[in-house]
Amino acid sequence: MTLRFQDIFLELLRFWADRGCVIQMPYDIEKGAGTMNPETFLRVLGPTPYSVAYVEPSRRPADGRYGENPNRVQKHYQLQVLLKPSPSDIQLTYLQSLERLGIRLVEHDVRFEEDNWESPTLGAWGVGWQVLLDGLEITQFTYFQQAGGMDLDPCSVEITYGLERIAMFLTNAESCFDLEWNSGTSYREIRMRDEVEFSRYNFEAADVAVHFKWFDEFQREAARLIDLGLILPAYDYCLRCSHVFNVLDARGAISVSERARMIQRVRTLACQIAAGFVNPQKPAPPRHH
Amino acid sequence: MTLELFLEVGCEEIPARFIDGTLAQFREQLAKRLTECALGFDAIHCYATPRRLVFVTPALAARQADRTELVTGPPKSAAYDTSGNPTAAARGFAAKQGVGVESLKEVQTDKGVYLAIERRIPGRSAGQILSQELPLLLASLSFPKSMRWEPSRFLFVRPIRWMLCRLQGEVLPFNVAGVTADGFSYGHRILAKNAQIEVNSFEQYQSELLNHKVRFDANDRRAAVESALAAEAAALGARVIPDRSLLDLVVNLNEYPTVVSGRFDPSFLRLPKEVLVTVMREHQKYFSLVDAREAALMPCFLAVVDSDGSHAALIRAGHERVLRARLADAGFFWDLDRKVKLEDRVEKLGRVVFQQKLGTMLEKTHRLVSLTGYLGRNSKLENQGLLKDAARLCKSDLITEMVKEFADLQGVMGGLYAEAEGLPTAVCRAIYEHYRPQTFEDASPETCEGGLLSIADRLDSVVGAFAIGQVPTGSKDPLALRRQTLGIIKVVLDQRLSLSMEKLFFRSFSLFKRKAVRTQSDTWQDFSSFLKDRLRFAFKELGFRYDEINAVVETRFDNPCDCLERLRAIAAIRSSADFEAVAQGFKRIKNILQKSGMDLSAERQEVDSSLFESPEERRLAEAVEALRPKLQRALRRRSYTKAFELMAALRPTIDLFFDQVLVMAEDQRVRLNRLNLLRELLRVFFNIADVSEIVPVPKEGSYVGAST
Repeated sequence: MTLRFQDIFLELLRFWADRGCVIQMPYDIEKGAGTMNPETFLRVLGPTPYSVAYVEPSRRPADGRYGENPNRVQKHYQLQVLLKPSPSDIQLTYLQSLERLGIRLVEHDVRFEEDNWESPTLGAWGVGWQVLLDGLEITQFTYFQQAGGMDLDPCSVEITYGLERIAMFLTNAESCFDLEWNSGTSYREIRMRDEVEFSRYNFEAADVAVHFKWFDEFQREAARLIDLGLILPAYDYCLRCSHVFNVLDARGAISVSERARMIQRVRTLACQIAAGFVNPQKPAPPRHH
Repeated sequence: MTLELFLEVGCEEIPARFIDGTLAQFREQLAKRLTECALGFDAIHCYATPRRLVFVTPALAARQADRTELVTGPPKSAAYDTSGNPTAAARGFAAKQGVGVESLKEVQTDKGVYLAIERRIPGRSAGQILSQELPLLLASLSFPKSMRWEPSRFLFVRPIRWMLCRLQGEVLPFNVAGVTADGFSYGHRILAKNAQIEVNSFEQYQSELLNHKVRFDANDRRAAVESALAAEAAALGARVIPDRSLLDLVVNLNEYPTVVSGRFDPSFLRLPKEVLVTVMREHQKYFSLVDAREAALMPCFLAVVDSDGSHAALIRAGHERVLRARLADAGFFWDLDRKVKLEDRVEKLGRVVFQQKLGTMLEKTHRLVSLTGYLGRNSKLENQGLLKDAARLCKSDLITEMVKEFADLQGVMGGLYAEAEGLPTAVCRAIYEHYRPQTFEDASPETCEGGLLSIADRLDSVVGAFAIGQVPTGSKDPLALRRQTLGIIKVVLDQRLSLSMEKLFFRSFSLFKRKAVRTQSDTWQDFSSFLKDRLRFAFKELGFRYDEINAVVETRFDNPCDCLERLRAIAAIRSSADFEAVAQGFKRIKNILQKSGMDLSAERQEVDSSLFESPEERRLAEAVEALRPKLQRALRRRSYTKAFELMAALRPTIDLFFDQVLVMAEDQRVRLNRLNLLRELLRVFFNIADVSEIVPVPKEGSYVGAST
């Protein structure tokens, strides 16, 4: 069985659907990682159990290479699984999901190596591993401990598959652009122009002044919505701040002192949003400007 | 009768760096608790893989010894009425203890005679004690980073998934983090399909685990890895570049390690060896190889993998592909970085923070240029311009892509890029080696320029931290100021740089200008005592005894090289009988002077020879005067051994003086004159070392193991 790129996420989604996960859609705002999708960031908060899986396009402007690097792209696809609370046989289930893709584990070197995750902008951190398959990092495996500055109870486990990596492993491809998306259409055909144009945009063309202005405006809008108790719309603007920050960072436009301050501003939003999500009846008291 | 206690805690992968520390903690805690519970044991053996912590106590006492406890009741005076019948108090006490009054006995206490009863407390069984203590013990372990994962919110390094606990074959059930200990272990998760294994004893465990592809003893894994590395290397006609810390790491990353060799495209050998080795080591945890004559790096690697070796070809192909992508990245960085000269990167250091309160790396660079200017002049460096060039460029590699990817290559990359630009060798070398030495055991920079730049870099960091009040306290030293200061001392000593630390400090401090939040004199006070402390440590590491270090450092420590020379001289002469006797004499003199209230640092007072009453006194005074110019000459030439020989030669004169002269004479003028004489004697030598600090070495036998 030769799996194409789309078969991999279809198989994995089916695998997790069979284990009771809600199969969700990507969230329609730019973000650096599947973790920032509200289906993860907000669902890990509070006591309600939840299991979900979805594919998430992840944008990291600074990773763009104009389509010239076989392994680095400014947008890649993650398949994200979130299980709350974390089941006790989760590692074994995860390994079964790899076998579902036709990987005979006994023929490979599989290792869970310490790799703890932390997102200062989200006030979130977790403990876990990167999963290495013959030395290739294919998955990030994290037990969430805090999000939005709040201790989590119960603890969730998050599994993030790097879809391009797994596809390259399965097909011995040397470049992600050589992957077949489906039979007849390559990753290159679908993604190359995207990589070239967004690399130019992120590194050269993005208007720095406009982005700084947007950052301020989005941040203010998010803060205003938090005061109104409109937590989900507020989170949208928090995500937009984060992406605008990443573009400015790729442009090399952020100085040292600005950097710390901007991260702190997004973090403050994320923490207020988390608090507002958990206690919707008690929005933070209105601010006076 | 003794019992075998055998515990296996099954976990999800424990980070390799935590394993040894966890075992040590467990061993210590178990020993402590067993001792507190008066439960005898012979030994505690600990083993671990990433997935299991294993503890065995081969011979544990089956139970505590029974003991008796004396329970005292009412005083005898209150226990019987006038007719000798037990009172309500006595009857009540007896009833509470469940005995008749006639069973009570009388005991004598501090407060008088009391009624009492001896109760026999039966010892608890090992099982009872352990099922109570083991959960507490596991809960007490601490880790640099721990986590929660289940409803009881137990805190541990990684989730516990099973526990096997047997006491002489019997399951000892106890509960931790929602897991109940039972009699089962599990094999290798993939190679043995995580098979459940019933285990009754540690002996059986050893063979079963190996059958299920788990080497639970790190020593076993280490031996397996070492011999496999050697064999694979030999097959390639190569030698492994030894890497102790990498070996320690990979041994704790696998349950069943084997070694796979792989190759990379020889065209990557165009990259510097340092880059190739770092990519392989840091990203992939591979060992690098050099050809058997140890000359050149080979386009090969050895990977330690968790596999039984039966599918090596497939695994090799996977690792080779990953390395290819990594090396392609490194090649990209190498080419990209060389497009911008180090010189053109300097201004961009203004965007890199050195320390929040101390500003940017650009500011630090300016200080380093100034500080190396001073150092170059004071160590009479031939081409001081080259050192300043190196200082200006040495931090520029922080904004290269390669160093952003591999922080460990800082300095090294700067040196390599400087070389690629064709800069003078002295500049390249100085940049390359300016982060050395990393530890006191590590080698110092080989070039003088590298040494001076290394000193400047560290001094700037340490003085800066002191200037903003970030002084190490107790075990807290987040900026590694102790290590950095030791690095300064190490380079100064290794390169025999005759430098005044005080002048160096003031020069460095002045460069911080308004950034310093503390005054210069406050900062110096803290820094100098910190420095003295580090010097003591360094000299101790070099094998000098504590009294030698006291004698030398207490006199003065401003110039560490000078300290070292005085130490060497004193260490060489201290065992001679004459020197030891004189040192003892000096101690006596110091005591006499202190008791009589003489200020050792007071102005010199002329000794009046007309007040001498005996020839011994006169002879000592003449000897001191005769010595003075000789000693000054010796001191100028730093011939400290010579100076100490002169001192030792004084022994008969000093001995005779104490035999024949009473220092504390009746006549006050005579007494004061004698005290003056002794003080002069001390002072001519105290310029070199306070030899009164020297403690006589006990003769043969008792010297062994003496602490230094």
